[in-house]
Amino acid sequence: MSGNWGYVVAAWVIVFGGLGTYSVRTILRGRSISKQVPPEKRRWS
Amino acid sequence: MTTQLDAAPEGLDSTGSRGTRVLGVLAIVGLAALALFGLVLSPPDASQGEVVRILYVHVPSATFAYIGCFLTTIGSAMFLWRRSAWWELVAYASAEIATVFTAIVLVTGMIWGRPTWGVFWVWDARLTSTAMLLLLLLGYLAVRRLPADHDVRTKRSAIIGLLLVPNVIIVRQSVQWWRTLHQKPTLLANGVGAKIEGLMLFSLFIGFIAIGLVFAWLLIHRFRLAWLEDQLDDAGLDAAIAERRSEGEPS
Repeated sequence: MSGNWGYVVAAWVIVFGGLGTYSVRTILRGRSISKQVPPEKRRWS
Repeated sequence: MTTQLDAAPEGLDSTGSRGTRVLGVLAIVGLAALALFGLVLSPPDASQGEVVRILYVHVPSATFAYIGCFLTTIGSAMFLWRRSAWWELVAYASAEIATVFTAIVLVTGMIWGRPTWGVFWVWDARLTSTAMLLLLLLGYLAVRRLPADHDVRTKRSAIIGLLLVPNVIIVRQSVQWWRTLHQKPTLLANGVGAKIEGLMLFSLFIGFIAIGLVFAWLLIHRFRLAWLEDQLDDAGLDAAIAERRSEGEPS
């Protein structure tokens, strides 16, 4: 069964890596677009 | 030189806020606890062995993919009914997050299937309906991002959004309605009673908490980003209209 650890690690790397990459992309895009929008229009109110 | 757009009030130069920072820290702590319990403290399963550890991330990801689809359908219905821009943004943000989670579910399911079934993929009802769900979500996002009039694309994507919950019901019930290779519900068999217990059940519970916190954190950030994207689109449209009008004026 020790060989199955490779599948376990691959699945966990995909989950953590996928969510991490998507999170970073969202944050960076938010910072980039914020600079192009007037401050009074940057948040839903 | 500092422009007017650079001189933003503190906290408005990104999609973050004090609340999202607290939520983000909680999510990281939750993920660390999930890794500790899921990979170290919980025992291997008697029949599945170590690969059961994949289910601690696979099952919560599937649940929150369904929740994302549910929010998209609710948001789409509210937008079509009330013309609520807030609900339309909730639908759009949820759809993108649900797409990421559904892709993760498919890939981790394939990785779990290889040592368990001997193959990465079979055209089983659960797998096929989940793949259809991913295609539907990609279709929603493609239509929402078409270079067309904002009202037209939001209305058309909302109509696609209405189809998500019926598709989720098909995915969820596929193991009951058809003979499938995929196992039947483990956590709630026929609605009552868990087939797993002890540290394995606790690890799965931690998985739901941790992935749920990540989902909530992503939803807030993605909603704010969708709002900013719409503001940028509107500003671009206003500039284009002004330019067109100035072209028409006699010089």
